[in-house]
Amino acid sequence: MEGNSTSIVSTWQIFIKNRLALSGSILVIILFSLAILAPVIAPYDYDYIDRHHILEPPGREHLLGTDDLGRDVLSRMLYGARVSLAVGFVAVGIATIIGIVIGAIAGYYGGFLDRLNMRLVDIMLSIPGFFLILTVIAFIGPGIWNIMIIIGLTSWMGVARLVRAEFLSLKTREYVLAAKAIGASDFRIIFRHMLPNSLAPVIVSAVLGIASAVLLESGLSFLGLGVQPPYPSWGNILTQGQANIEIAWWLSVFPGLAILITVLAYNLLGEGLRDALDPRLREGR
Amino acid sequence: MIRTEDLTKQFVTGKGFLGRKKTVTAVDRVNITITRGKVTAVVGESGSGKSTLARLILRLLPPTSGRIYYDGTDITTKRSSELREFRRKVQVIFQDPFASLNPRMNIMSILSEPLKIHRIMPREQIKDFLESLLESVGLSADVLNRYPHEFSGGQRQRISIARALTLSPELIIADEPLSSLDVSIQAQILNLLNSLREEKGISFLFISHDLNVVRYFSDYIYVMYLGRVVEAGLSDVIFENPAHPYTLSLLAAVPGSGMRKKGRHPAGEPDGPVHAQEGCPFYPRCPERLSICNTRAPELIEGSGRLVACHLQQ
Repeated sequence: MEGNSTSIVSTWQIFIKNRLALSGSILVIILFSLAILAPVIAPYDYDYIDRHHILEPPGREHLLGTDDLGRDVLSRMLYGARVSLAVGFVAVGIATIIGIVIGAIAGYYGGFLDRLNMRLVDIMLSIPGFFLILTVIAFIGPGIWNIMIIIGLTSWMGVARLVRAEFLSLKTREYVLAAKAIGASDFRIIFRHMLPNSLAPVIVSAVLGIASAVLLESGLSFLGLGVQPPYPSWGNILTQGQANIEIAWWLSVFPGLAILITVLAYNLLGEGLRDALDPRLREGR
Repeated sequence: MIRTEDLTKQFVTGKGFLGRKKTVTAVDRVNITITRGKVTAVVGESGSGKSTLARLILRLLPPTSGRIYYDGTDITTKRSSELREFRRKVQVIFQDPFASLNPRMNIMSILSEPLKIHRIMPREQIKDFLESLLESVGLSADVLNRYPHEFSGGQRQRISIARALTLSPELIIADEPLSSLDVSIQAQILNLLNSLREEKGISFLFISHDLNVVRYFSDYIYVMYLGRVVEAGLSDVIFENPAHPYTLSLLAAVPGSGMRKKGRHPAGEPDGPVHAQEGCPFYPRCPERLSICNTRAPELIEGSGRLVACHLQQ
């Protein structure tokens, strides 16, 4: 990828011209602020039970209504945003680090290590991720930390392939050969010369990865294998929503919308970044 | 100072049915000697294996067979930890100055990296040292905080040369250092290289397809064709009186060389090395080929004051 430092300015220019990408990033910023400020702006505690208002529709006292225990849905969703974002970032962080290490080793050393690492990727990809996660959770038990780690451990393959492909092409670049010729160690060549020049696609894939991690977390929590009640997550609010769908539409609609908007925001941001960072796509615009 | 012995590099181009490997021989049993204080040139068309040879000598590519000796010691299979001395004494300048500098590092980091790796001097002295070094290659000291993309091709090549000089090398392997530069810049860079040779006594392995430059700059010449050395000798001898039809045709292609009448142009492009088999590699294009040339490859042997691989001379 030719994305060198000249392009920082033009990358930014392309990015802000892209309305969808811009709105994606604004949404992400809003979600972040809401999540961080949850304890300040939430009207109630996430586990405060208002026995007089059970399954109350959205109104003045409870903006987004209450659930079957009389808890405020808005407050719970704000705390749930923290879970989603934390899971997204930690899981993607783990996946990206593993992916970079495996991909870098495969791409840089080639030969046996390359074949070994890439077959590992193939094996991981051939297992349906969701069922693998379900099985592992069944053994180690549900919980927010467990799902962060498991999502991370099962979603690094894309990053590994990307990094490997970048490294294969960077390996024969003359500045990499020049570094070798002055006696730089493998470690130095990988981290000082190759990795900084292959990060753009990794960043894009990480942002897109956050979206799928958020979705995965919601799915697991919905099934009761993720975040455990009483702590809220958009997924487990949906579970209550499903139980009461005929009498309390707000319990399903609002967390559903939250998931939809979050995933959409990260996808828009990621795709915008990809277009801005990839000079090969610039020509056609 | 550096000597190669039957150095050979084959690249695997693909695997055939039942895992039979198809290979291309880029460098074929090459014996060259780089003499201290001299400029040794390797010339040939693109695809002749010159750059591969440079990368083999630099230990950037593993050879398929053959040996490389540095000051008498065999460095062919030494591990990188044992090559520290070699890495310090032998430096490289690449052809494309736009590709040979890391776009994400500023000039300060690029030039100080060799010093840090080899722990040449304490950190505080690096800046002063680099400023005087930059001056000696014709750049001002304020380039240190800038990035490669801010420079022109000629300036970048000066930076590459400065990087090669940071470790006070004995030998610089220059892989077509001029061919991607404008003609006016070529002359400046060549003068710079020439002054390095004269003032610092640095030896060069100079790889080029530009015979005018080679004639001006080099002491000893190896002519390569499809991975093999076809003629080798003192630069004056080769230029005055080329023996191999290929060398002759190369010289004939240089305007004003006075060889126009003597040499006939070879037909077409070089055959890919894929097809080179038993006979002389130049056979398909040679204007003076004999029937023996198709069946037996000529050996590189001594004749009229140089080494030449051609049946016509034997």
